[in-house]
Amino acid sequence: MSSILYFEDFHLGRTFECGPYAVTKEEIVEFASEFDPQPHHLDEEAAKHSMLGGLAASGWHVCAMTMRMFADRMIPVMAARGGSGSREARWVKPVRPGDVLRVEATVVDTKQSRGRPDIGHVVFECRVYNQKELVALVFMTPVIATRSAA
Amino acid sequence: MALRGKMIKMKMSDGAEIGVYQVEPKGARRGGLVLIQEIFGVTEHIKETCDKFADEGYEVLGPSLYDREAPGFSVSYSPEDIQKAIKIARTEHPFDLSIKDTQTCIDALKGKGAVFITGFCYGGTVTWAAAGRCEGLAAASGYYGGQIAQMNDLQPKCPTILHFGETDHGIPLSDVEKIRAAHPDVKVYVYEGCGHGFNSDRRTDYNEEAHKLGMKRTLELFRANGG
Amino acid sequence: MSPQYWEDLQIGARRDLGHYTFTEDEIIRFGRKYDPQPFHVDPEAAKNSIFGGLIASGWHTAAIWMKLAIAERANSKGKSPLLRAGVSPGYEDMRWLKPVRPGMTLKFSSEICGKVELRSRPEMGIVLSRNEARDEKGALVFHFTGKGFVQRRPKA
Repeated sequence: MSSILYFEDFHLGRTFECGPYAVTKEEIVEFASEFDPQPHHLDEEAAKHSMLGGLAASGWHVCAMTMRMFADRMIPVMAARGGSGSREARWVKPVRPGDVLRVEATVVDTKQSRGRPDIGHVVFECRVYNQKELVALVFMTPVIATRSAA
Repeated sequence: MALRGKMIKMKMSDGAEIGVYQVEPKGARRGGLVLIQEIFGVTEHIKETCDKFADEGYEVLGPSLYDREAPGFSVSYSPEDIQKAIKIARTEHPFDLSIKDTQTCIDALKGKGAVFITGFCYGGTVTWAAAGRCEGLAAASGYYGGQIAQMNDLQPKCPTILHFGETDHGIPLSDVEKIRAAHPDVKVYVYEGCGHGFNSDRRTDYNEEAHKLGMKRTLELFRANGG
Repeated sequence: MSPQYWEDLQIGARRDLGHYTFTEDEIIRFGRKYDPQPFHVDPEAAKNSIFGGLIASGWHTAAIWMKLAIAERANSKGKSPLLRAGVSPGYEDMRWLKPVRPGMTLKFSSEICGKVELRSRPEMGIVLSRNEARDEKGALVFHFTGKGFVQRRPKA
């Protein structure tokens, strides 16, 4: 049996566990310094007075960490050709220094490509949990998967 | 709801004039209250809080503590404004001046009944310091003052209660325990599931239950001490 | 000057966020850390992929949009500041339409396309923005609908 998963192998509801990812203050500040230099992602004092109530990772950083967890789990096993986007995303809870994240990626939709018989789209719903089992982020991402050679 | 008070100008001990939000009590006067701002200045939220206490029978004075550095300072919760506020609090405005201005407000309320103090965040720290260093206070109720644990050897001269959020990221529970241990006569309340700023309905951390409970405890403290 | 509250938001108000050129080094650096699919980290493997060469991770493009959006906000002194809280509940409908290759220069923009009242939060509203990146020929490369919290005008 091949250990590579093709489009046909992704039935609805199939879930993949990804992670863990340990979030550090250094990494929060490093990402934010480059891509989201707002005080509540850089400075504890400013963050305390902000809507986030304390230093937290940029939402974009949380997406990036999620992608890393997803890629580490799926690249070795999935005949994938990249993603085309990310449908709605909800940043539910702040991600803080010391949090440990994991992702549950569940297949919520599959669609054979109309124009290309050799590929299909697999839509994953990714739920990112912290160590307290609270959801930090939810987003949907369609991934292009090749069909197995018949 | 329209605000009931008005901004007046008061001369402070160093000769400078600062703005003070003043509200007359509704019904019989139970006492005077000095209400100390967060780092955001005397904002709509602070004015509304002053009005709430005035509704309970207190004449309230809310001094605009950063008026010397930034006249009329009252800012939003945007990151830029938060930075402005922190800069003033950290580097421009001497903390001692806040204590002196608080004493001036206490003195203005004396002679007509007991005088109390309450404050939030920066104002919570000022409340704690005033309880130890000012004259003429009957009781003090301070909310989530970030520097209180650093002033742990201060001895309050009047009955004092403190309020902290359980999940305040700026004030760890270990700090709260330190305060409790050093001051067995000070009631230190920890509000479950609350973060920093839980009393402010402008903040994402606002907790209606905690706000009501804190208010109830504060009013009970004042009633028990001549208010 | 007086700040702009959620009530002052103008649908259609547009911000030009400027240009950004993606280099091979930073594409690989981002890919290695956050999106290690072969075509984001290995130029050789990328040549043999359906993309025919190294391309930037879609998440990298999104992060650059954010970088430019914050920089534009910091540089627009003299304009009435919109009281954004700098915090977002999420986004919608993000599409990576065309590959972003090393050496490509993209032009980024943001246009207000809606506002949402929040019953649960009387002091904040949501601003919706159509956010885009286009290539040198003006073709749409990337877009998403962003959401941000904006302070509401205090009751008098």
